[in-house]
Amino acid sequence: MSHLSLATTVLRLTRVVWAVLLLQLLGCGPSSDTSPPRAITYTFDAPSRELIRLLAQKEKSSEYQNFDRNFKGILVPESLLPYEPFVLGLSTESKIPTVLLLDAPWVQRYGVAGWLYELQRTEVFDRSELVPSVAEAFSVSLTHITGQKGKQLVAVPTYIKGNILFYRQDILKRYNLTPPRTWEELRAICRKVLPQEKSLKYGLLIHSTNTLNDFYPIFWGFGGQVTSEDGHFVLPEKPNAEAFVAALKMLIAMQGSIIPGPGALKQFDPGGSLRQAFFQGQTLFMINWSTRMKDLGDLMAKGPGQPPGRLTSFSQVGVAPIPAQAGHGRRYSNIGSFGWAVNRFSVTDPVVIEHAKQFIKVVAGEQFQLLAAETMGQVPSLVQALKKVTNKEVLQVYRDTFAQKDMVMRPRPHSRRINNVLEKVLDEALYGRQTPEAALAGAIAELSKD
Amino acid sequence: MKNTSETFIRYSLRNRLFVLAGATFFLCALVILMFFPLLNITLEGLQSRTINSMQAAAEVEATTISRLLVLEFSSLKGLLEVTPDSNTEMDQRIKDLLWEKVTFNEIIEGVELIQGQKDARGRRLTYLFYRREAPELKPMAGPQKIMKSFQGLEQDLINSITTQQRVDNTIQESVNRGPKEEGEMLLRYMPVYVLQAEEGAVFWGVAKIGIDTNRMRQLLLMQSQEQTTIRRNIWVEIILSLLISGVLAMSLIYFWVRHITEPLRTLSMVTAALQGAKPEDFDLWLENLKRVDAQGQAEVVVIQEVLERLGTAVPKLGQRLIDGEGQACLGKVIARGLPVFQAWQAQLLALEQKLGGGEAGGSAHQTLTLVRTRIEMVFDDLSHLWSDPKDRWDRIDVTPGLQRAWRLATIGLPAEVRPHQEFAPLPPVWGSEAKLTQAGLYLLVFAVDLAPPAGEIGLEAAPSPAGGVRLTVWVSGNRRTASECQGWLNPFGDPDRIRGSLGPALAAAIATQHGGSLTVAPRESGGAVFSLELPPLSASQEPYEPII
Repeated sequence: MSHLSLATTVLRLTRVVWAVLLLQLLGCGPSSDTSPPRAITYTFDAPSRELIRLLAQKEKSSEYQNFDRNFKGILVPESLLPYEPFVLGLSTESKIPTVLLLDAPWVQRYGVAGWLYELQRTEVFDRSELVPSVAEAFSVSLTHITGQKGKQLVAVPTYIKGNILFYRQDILKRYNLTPPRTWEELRAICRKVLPQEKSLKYGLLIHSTNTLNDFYPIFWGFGGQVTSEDGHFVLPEKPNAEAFVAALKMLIAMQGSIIPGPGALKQFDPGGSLRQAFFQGQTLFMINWSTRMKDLGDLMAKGPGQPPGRLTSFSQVGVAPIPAQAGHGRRYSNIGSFGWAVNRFSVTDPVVIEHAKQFIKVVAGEQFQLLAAETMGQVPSLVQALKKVTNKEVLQVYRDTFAQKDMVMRPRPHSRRINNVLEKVLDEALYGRQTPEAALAGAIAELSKD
Repeated sequence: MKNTSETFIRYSLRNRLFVLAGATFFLCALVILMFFPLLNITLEGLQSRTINSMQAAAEVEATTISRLLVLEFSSLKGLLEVTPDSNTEMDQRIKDLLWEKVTFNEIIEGVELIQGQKDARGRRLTYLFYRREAPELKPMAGPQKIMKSFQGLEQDLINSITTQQRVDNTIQESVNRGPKEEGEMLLRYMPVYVLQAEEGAVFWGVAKIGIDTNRMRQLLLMQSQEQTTIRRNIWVEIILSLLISGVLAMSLIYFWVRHITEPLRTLSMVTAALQGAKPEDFDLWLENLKRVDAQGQAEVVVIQEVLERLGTAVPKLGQRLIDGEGQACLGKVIARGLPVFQAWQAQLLALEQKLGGGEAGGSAHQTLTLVRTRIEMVFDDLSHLWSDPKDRWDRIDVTPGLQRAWRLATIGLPAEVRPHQEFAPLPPVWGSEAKLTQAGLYLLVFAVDLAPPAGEIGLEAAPSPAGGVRLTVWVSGNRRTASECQGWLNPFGDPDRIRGSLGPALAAAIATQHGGSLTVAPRESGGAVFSLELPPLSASQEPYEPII
């Protein structure tokens, strides 16, 4: 009797103890954090916001209609933009903004500094959804921070933009010529066509202001680099210096015969003058941003009242990658895309990650990119969106340039100082005030001061 | 009786209920006390979480303050112009700014502005000012501009910031955990950018900002003390609650248990009183049984009703038993005397034949007469015992009746047994002669049964010192104990004894009925002595109805 009673008592006591312990699990333990999740912040971008508004009207989807409720845009005063205010914020580990729209070079700068959150590894975004060449441009090596080898995607581009070679497709067809792959070919075409086409004043037009943007893909096509992938200044190294001088010499050599001479450059300083000249049939080739295809369409759409010899149809316009030096295997484009990146310091809990994921899904999603392609002529960065695009010009730009196997999209160096100095010496050389060698030496001397 | 009483106390329903209620409360108290360790764990978890969140909040605060300072430094375009040898207005402005920030902001312990570039000896241009409030530290005269070398982890941290413009938080935490020559404070290292319209954010160097942690330490200490107080108070409250609730619970339990068990306890006591009750107390016992208040408890009512039925039936059964025992006693006397009667009959026949043949002389006639007299006497004795009215009470002399009982009891007594009788002149007593004779017969027959072969048996009737009558019946034989002797008078105390003779018990009942008593004691030489005392004659003497 006593053993049985003891066992029963022990069993009952055990049940009581379990019940007491279970009380902890049923809510008698420490209270959990029940504070409501806060809306995440992002850098306000007017074009993106306009597309969201259009999608909210068109799709009637809650993710677009509740956009402003879920995501709070930060309007950056225009006066502050030149000062790169977010460098101060991120370098001091500010959590604001959660998501930033960054130009490709800034992505490199912020990414290498470890301020941006990896998107592929953390499953915020699948890199394979992007066109590989543009995905590569928005990836950086974070080995020094995370220990992970290889490049990590740190921003999601919403479209593909880069400078490319525009050409008169109708004229090249007429002479049974194909678009040039090298500068030699371009010069040969010009030598053949220009004497016979009197309406053409120039063989090639490049920007006379911010010329560096056009010069970079030419320079890269000669095998040179200004900075290495980890951001070090490598222009003084011999191969790079020689490539810089060779590319510059090549441009100078074409001045007067193919591209405008120093005296004629000034007329192309006003904004839009390059595309106007191409539209008016003054040039056979033009280096410009890929988005100028839409601008040319807008000019053509204006109809009567335009000068004779102007472009009237997209069939007259062809696009190709900017030529490279003969023997160089790749052609380059200076990428001008912007991408959405996540502030590493804002990722303090899984809710933030989830919200950032939702945000990117909205502003870089398929519907968004398709609408941008149809209304703004932007080339989608998503592979799936590209398959559904109906805009022929957008598809033409993608197919004939960014989809080319030898095409590399590369961001310019992020250092504004480097760019400013190189822009200055480039002008000096193109305007004939300095030889290419002297211009390079001056740039290297100034940039090596520190 | 004593043992029975202790057992009852130990295992009574009331005591069991008290013990079980106490054990239940003790178990509940134990369970409640088990909450204390859980509470302790909860409080420790709370403390840990609070410390963590306070530390996190302090670090966020330190980062925010440092960020505000760095944002302010970013507008100092002159920073890009200062050199180790310069002594310009900008140098003074930077030092003044540091003095203002450190002096007027209690939470800022000190600031260092460290240029990114190093000289050939690895030193960096540094503007610094610390308040140095700790007693062991010598206060600084004012902000300084020096060339400073950094060592160890701090050097690694500054190098990583100047090369990558990125703060390695792991190294920063290590620096904060280690000793600091500036005193105890939370250090924050941040890259300093100078904003230029044309070049954007231009990296200049590192800001090292010391944040006061005394406030946090005081808060942590206060929180720890508060938790100790809370823990102690809760412990006292739990103990007090248990004590108060224990007293209250036991009081209520005591009241209710007493209330609930009272009918059963009363019934039990009344029932137990039967064990020591005398026959004359039986009516009183029965009356007491009827007066037990069951308070509507079904179980008590059932037991009470059954006991009442038994109590009513027992006197009737007792009367029947007495009647039957008297007849059985006479039957035993007759059975024992049968050989004697047969011998007397044979002797009578032989004498009659002899006298009929004329052969006998005068002695035969005398013998015949004697035998006839004996036979007639036996019949006369039996007739008296059988038919005398037992309910007739009067002033009587007990001697004839006792002599009749003696004669009947000793008929057929083995020849080896030596009978002794001694009758002194006795005073009259009030009573039923038939019953007293029957009582004597009971004792004598019982004594004859006890008498061993060649033993002795005796009857002595004499006046008692009180003026009544004392009848002493003794018998020789084995040594008897007092309890054995007492057991003869109380055959119902031991159910086994019921199988034996009820004579002594009935004789005792008759003696009691007459206001007398019967005692039994062992004889020193072996055997036993029965002593029946009757009170002297009294006018107020009233007969009792026989019960047992």
